Amino acid sequence: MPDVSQSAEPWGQPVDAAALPPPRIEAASLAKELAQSSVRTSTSDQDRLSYSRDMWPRALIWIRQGRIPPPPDAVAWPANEEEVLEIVSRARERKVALIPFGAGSGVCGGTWATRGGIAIDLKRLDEIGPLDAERRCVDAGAGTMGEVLERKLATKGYTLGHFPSSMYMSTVGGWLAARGAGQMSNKYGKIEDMVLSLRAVTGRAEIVETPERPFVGPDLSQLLIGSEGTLGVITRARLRVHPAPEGRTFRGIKFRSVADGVEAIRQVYRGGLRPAVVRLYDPFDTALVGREKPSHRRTPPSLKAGIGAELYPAVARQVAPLALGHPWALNRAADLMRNCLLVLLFEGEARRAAREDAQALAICRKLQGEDLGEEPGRHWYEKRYDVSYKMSKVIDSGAFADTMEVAATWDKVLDVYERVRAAVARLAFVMCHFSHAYLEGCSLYFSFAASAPDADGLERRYRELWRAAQTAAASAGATVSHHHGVGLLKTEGLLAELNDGRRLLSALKRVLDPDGVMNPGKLGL
Amino acid sequence: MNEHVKKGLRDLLGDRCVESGGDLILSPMVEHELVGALRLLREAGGRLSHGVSISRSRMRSVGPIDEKSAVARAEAGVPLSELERSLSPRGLTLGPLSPGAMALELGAFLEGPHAGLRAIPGGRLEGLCLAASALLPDGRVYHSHPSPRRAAGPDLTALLLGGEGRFGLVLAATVRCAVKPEASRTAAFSYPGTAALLSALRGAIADGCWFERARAHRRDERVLLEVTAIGTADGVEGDLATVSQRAFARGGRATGRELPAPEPGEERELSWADLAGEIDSGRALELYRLCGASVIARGAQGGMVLRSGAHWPHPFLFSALAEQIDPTAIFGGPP
Repeated sequence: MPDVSQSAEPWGQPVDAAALPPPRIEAASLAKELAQSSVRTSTSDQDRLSYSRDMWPRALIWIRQGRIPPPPDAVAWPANEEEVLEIVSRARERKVALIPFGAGSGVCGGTWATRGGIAIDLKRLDEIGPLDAERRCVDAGAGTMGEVLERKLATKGYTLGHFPSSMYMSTVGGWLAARGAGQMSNKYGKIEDMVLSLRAVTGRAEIVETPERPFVGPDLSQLLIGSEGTLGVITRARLRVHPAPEGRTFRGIKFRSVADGVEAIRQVYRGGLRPAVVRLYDPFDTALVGREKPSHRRTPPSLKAGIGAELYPAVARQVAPLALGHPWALNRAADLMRNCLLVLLFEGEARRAAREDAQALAICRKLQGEDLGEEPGRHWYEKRYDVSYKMSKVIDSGAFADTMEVAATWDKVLDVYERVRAAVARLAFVMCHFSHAYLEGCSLYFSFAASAPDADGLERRYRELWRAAQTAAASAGATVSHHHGVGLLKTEGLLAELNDGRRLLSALKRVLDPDGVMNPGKLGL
Repeated sequence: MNEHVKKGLRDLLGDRCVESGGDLILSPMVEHELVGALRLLREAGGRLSHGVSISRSRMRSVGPIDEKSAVARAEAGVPLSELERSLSPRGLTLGPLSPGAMALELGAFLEGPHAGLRAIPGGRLEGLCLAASALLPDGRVYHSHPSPRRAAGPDLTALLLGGEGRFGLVLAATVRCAVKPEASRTAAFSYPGTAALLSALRGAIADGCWFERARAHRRDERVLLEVTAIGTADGVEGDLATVSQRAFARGGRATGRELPAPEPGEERELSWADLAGEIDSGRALELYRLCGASVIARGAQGGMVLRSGAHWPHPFLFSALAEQIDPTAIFGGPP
């Protein structure tokens, strides 16, 4: 793993939010040209400032300091695919960078305009086609907001089954570009599992529509999904849908150790069961949940929520800067805790869901799991989207919080957990939950919180933390990302992971974006 | 190809470099032999499929098998049937693949029209390949990351799966396994029409039912479906209960009648719309790899024959990609 903390600003330089650099001439001129062709554009500082950032905590730290990530030179709001095509075509001629932009909920800097250019906000491509109940699919524009799509499907008795915690602030195109996952990926799959076909405007300024099965040859969809705007602009997708579940079960189970809880998840999958939700919280988070009165017991939807909803009120408000500045002591205290909470949720045909819930409980009991009833699961479900809007409070307290989601096969999962905790113990308070399970492994979702005496110290600690966490995870055999994507944050880790695969990725780039205008600098391209 | 290169290949491979009808057939046993043979070919400006072919049939080691993670490493030349026999004593299986797939070597299953896909509970397709090692045209070996899922850029193994070796030759793969079923039971249902049958079957698949195979056949005014569920004993009973509920909800009923197997023939991939047409035409069908997107059928006349050499969609794009990845066309040139 290359040392990202020593590289020459691979993550981009901040600029003064009160004095934005003027837009580059080429990009501003192109924006004007596009406006004359009826494409809505802007070069105003307000708009450039709005599109300069995503939800990467590094940007949030900067913003608190009056700085912002490098802004785009202009913003465009195409109304349809033809306008996207026109933007790409002209940008290609003028060699102006383009940065596709969904709803800005990314957490890795994937939409930062590190080389200037025009941010293309795709939210006007929000047409949802008629539900095809017979073929069980729906067409949705890239700019369709997740919650809007799900609400529309619900009126017809269907669901997409994709429920990221950013549901209210993310788009179909963003999900696809980042290769995202929803909280119920256990049952419905990640976004790449839901795509029947998609349309994109490539960096060649050509529209491609990927074929639906059956077809022969490589699956072009899988080459575009996860490309984070570096190969083209995804404009539309045909997605698989499911009848809305008629039944749903909730279950909380207490285990005596992380190892027992992880083994329970593995056994549930080996038993042929496919819960919609599996979340095992490690001891400190479980302790936070349990410290409240049973009638008010709260289960955070994730450890990111743990930081937002539990850690912050319990610790951060009172002693955050001090305590998080010395995370070693907090981590040692967490080491003394053992009990873990597993939340299971089954849904689908009602009797089947109930049957599978009972079978899963029997498996857990064999591993000394203690049934806590429905309440922890119900509470998680009610609060499942609470997470994404609370992070800024941690930043406001002078600390920072961030999350790292990796994945590994079962033989490596506990090693990844222990190595990452050990590697960051002196740098940040760390918690983890295990979710997004498969027969062969699962995702580990680490949450970090730390502080430093001053802005420079915070920046140094942030870099050092990420370097230590990524190095530890990779050394234990985990992939660099399970569902947040790569952006700028994980570029070095991606390149190390790809190794000679970089040549394949570079070849894709040369074919689909020969002029290098599409989101330059991301994925190492 | 000049004699100097032929001699080099014979020195490298011995009697596993044979000439037949003017063509050289190379059969390396291990990775370094394949890498070395390709280097010699590249230096001589040779191209596969232009008087030279490589067989990976002798690259057939299996292991390690990781029972905890239910994955196994196998070389490209291992027949899937042989891999299945290696997995069985360890309590694992490749899962329900079609007979045509099971007759293939691992490399051919991954690179050919099957694209290494299998159906998993929930009606999804999933790559059998968790990670692959592939020889690239420049002689480097690409190892994809063995992770359950990733959000780390495009899935580059998509260039290998279904790629017919144009972008890389699979040397070995870590394959996802399934837990060996402890039970298997067949049940048959009669439906008032094809639409009702397909709706019930798709619903059951989406619910998570795991079928080894199904048979469908129209008889007079009724359409018959026979499914074989596999899994744990509880799971099989649960799946058949689900199928029954789905059947009754669509006007179906249980029947004791067994359905005949279709005549042996080519396997074809059918969309569900294609499948409806095949059933309505009265053909007896045997169905495999049942998922929400498509099925593989025996006995069908339509759909897509699972045979290499068919035209790919977006030929210009993939040709351009082949030129980038394999500028000397050593892997045969653009598709």
